[in-house]
Amino acid sequence: MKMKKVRKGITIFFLVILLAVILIPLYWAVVLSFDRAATTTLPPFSLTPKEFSLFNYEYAFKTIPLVRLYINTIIVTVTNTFISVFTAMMCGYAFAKGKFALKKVWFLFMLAVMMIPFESRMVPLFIQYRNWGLLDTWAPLIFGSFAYVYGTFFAKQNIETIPDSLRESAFLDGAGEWTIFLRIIIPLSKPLIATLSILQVLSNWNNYLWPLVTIKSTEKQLISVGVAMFNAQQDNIYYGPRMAVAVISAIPLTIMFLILQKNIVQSIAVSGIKQ
Amino acid sequence: MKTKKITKERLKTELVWYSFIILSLVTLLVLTYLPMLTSVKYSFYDVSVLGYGETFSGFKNYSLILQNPAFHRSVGNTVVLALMSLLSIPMGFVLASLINGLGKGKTQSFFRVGYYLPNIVTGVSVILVFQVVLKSNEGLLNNVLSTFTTQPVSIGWLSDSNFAKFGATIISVWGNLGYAMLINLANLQSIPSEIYEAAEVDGATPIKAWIHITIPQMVPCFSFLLITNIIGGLARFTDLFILGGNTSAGRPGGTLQTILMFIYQFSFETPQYGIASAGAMILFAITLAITMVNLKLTGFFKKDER
Amino acid sequence: MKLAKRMMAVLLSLSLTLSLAACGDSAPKESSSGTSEKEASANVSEVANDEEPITLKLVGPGLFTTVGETGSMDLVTGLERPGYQVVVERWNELHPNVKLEIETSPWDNWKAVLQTAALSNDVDVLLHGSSITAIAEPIGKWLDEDPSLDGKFSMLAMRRTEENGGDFSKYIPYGLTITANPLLMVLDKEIFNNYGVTLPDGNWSLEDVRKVAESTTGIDPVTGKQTYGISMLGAGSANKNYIWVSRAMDVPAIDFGPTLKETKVNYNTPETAAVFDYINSLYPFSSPDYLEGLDMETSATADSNLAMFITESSYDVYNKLQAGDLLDRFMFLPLPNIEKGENAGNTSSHMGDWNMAVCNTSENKEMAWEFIKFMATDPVVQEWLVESNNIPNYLDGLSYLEEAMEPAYYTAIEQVLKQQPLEFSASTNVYYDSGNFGTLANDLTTVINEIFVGNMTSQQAAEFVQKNADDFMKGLQ
Repeated sequence: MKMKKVRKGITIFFLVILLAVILIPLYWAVVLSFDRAATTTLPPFSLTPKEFSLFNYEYAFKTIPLVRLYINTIIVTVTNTFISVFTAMMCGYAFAKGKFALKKVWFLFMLAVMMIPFESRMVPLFIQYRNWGLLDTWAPLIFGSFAYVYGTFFAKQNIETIPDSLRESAFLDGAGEWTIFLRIIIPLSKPLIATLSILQVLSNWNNYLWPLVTIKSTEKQLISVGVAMFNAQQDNIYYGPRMAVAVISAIPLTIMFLILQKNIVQSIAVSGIKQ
Repeated sequence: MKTKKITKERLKTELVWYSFIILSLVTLLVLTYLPMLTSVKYSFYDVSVLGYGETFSGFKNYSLILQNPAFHRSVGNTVVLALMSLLSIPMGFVLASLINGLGKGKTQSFFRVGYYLPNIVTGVSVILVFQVVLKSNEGLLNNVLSTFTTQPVSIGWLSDSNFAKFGATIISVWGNLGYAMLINLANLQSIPSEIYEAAEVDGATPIKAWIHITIPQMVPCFSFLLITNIIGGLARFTDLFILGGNTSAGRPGGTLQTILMFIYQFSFETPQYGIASAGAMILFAITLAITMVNLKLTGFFKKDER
Repeated sequence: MKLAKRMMAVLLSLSLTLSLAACGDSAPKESSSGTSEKEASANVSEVANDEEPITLKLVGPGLFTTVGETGSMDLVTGLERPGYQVVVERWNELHPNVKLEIETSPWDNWKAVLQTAALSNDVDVLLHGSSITAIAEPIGKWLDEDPSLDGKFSMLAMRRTEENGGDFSKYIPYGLTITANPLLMVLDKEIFNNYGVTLPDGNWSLEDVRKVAESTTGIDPVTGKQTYGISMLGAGSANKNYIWVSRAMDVPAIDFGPTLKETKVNYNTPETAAVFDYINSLYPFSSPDYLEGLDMETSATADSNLAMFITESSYDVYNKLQAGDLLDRFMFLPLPNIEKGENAGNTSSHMGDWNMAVCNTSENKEMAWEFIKFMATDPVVQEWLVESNNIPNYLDGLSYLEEAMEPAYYTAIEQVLKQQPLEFSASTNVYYDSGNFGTLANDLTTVINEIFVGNMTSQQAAEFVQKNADDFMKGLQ
């Protein structure tokens, strides 16, 4: 028993050290964001700011319309996440439990898309949106989320593990597939939905090139582009303010992750990643 | 009369199921396949900036790109970098095993969150910090190495073309370790505990159990991570683009130019859209091949309609 | 169940609209691309009529992004710079019916931004678009109509093209340069004094640069600090070092013909190798942080450890010096003289620029030209350019700069601007070309860095660059 405790102690000690090493760059970035001395000259590494101040944050809020960018990003991200996770669940359900013609063909049709690099179809896609007259709106940012391929794949694996008996009994009660989907499948898939949501929020939040070329008006722009604009507004690399902006833009993600992290592990555990 | 009713019902179920997927299918068709067809088309055209004149040129773009040493190099770089970044899988596994050994509770979720944090914070600011951590003269990493080896180390992790791939790998492993750990941990926790109990009865030590039970049980998980990592590695772009000073040249010395950066370079920086499209098609073919192998291994084609 | 049905209906109709829209529009897309587009826009009323309200759209990176609409403040110097609303107000005074819409973007991915902007058919003025000739309108016709502009600029945004039967060996102006960024050497006189090295004057050679760099590298005899002789332009843009050195040594490598195909490129020569050798000979006198671009942290401050460094943004350096009260300690010099050729004796400093071009998909090209001319020449704008810490390209605008700067610093800048032949473009010339030969610019950067770290000899570098150029030329249809 004692032996076990010692071993556990050693493990924790090792894990803490490693964690510290891994988090040093992040920690340092946060320290720099509070350091008035971190301008063009990067102060040598230290655990506390050389000259503690909130200046960098004030400067960031003064220079770019952070609140506006925040609101925009949240609206777009939430919309996208909702749409993409919901459609992924729909598709996942159909591919996991459905019986219909060409099922495998369509599944491959979807999977193949994962392999098309976005950068290579960006210009033709841009021209399409131009022809539809949808540039400088959020449509180009949102429409794509009606197909969330990775999510579909993931959802299919998860939903397959839900026993058919639940479906069958509902079926006998006269429920249609949509009712089953909304009343049984969705409530049973909360961890899965949480996981997919996190993944979607992450990728939406950091999306940069596409909003950069499709959104021109500042009042519609997203935070990722705002960060780049902020960086472009100085002639030099000012470390402190850059880190402040980076910290600001990462806060919502971190909070969300802290809230939902338990679900991720659960959903991966039940999913059929293992096939 | 009866058969007619059956087909009608059949049709109805078909329609219901299609109502679940039609939205995504149409979206993919219009927003992915259609633009991609444009790329396919232009891969057979001589076109510099899209929308400004084009002439049909047959397979010329393909023959040019396949003979282009810079393209060969970018394929090589991509593969090597993708393979090197696989390091996050064994590391994540060891980490997950250690964390799993702590038993469920506050400590475990603390480490789970802690190690996953780097995955959330990405982008320019992290690269900026790493540029200082990994610089050759008095960089944080070199200073640590100097202390351990008791002799001055000044490796240009990101500036010397001989070492840049290591530097880039450090950054990618740093960013992906948390994800690999999480997937591994989830899978570890879904291994039935009866297996371990049986082994304990047989007198197996924890280390032995780890080698003979855990690792074989985790093979499917590893292969999942392997495939997703490789596919992700083939599409690697953003961090290396920032590292090269917001160009796709793959600095230093072109050693960090991936296929996607090669494509970007010819799409926008030195516009030759035809060549970029041909490159995109080749990348698509490579990735598709890997996915097919993966699907085959996981038995996708064998499974019957349920 | 009802809910489900209703939802289904909504989703289905949504997807239907989407697919219909796709089909309906994919056909005209084909015809709208290419030449027909240009013809169509050429037919649009040529007259720039101030009576009818027009909106001009401006897109791109550069100064407007940096200062923003309402101005910005520098973190180190605390200097405030007026925003571009000054320009907008002035323009609206002159053209009350022409509204300006300015959409700024960062330098990251700027070429992608400009290309897609041109494709959107909704842009009139490209901020810094001249290097993408496909989307920029040649401005020669307007320049010919307006002789008052002759000889008024230190440079024009010149490019080459063979489109529409153009002669590739000739320069064609594609945009007006608004602000010029001459390459200048910044010297720390104190370090020179400490080492007892005589200060060079503007009339110096490549060899002089090397010598003083060598003798100011080491432990400063007075302060006891490590100093370095020179910091060339950042290793990330090492290709720009190639431009000035090859120009100073007059080592042409490109023989432009009437078409790109007839142009001969030859970098595989002992002369080119000698250019690489010279650049490499300065490397030992730079800081070990130079390769990572981290050696400039203390530059132009009281803790300066660089005897010389080359800058592309001389006004920023000037401000930094002024803020640190160090104007007496430092000085500017043009880069060394060109050794031979027709420009022998002139400085080898070339200039970067921030230019404006007329987008060729614009429907208001005449007005767009009016605007870029206004940006390049209007006195209020010129004053604003200087107030926002830029060097105007318009020679008449230099008087504002002269008022704003210490004479010694101003003279160096003026010398570069006035000695610059109008028929020289830093992006396409006989020594170097960043736009027409595939990856040439990147290749030069690559090989120079490889030489620095010892992975290539100058001979191998010349061969490498030539090999890629050959491959590119072979691929021309």
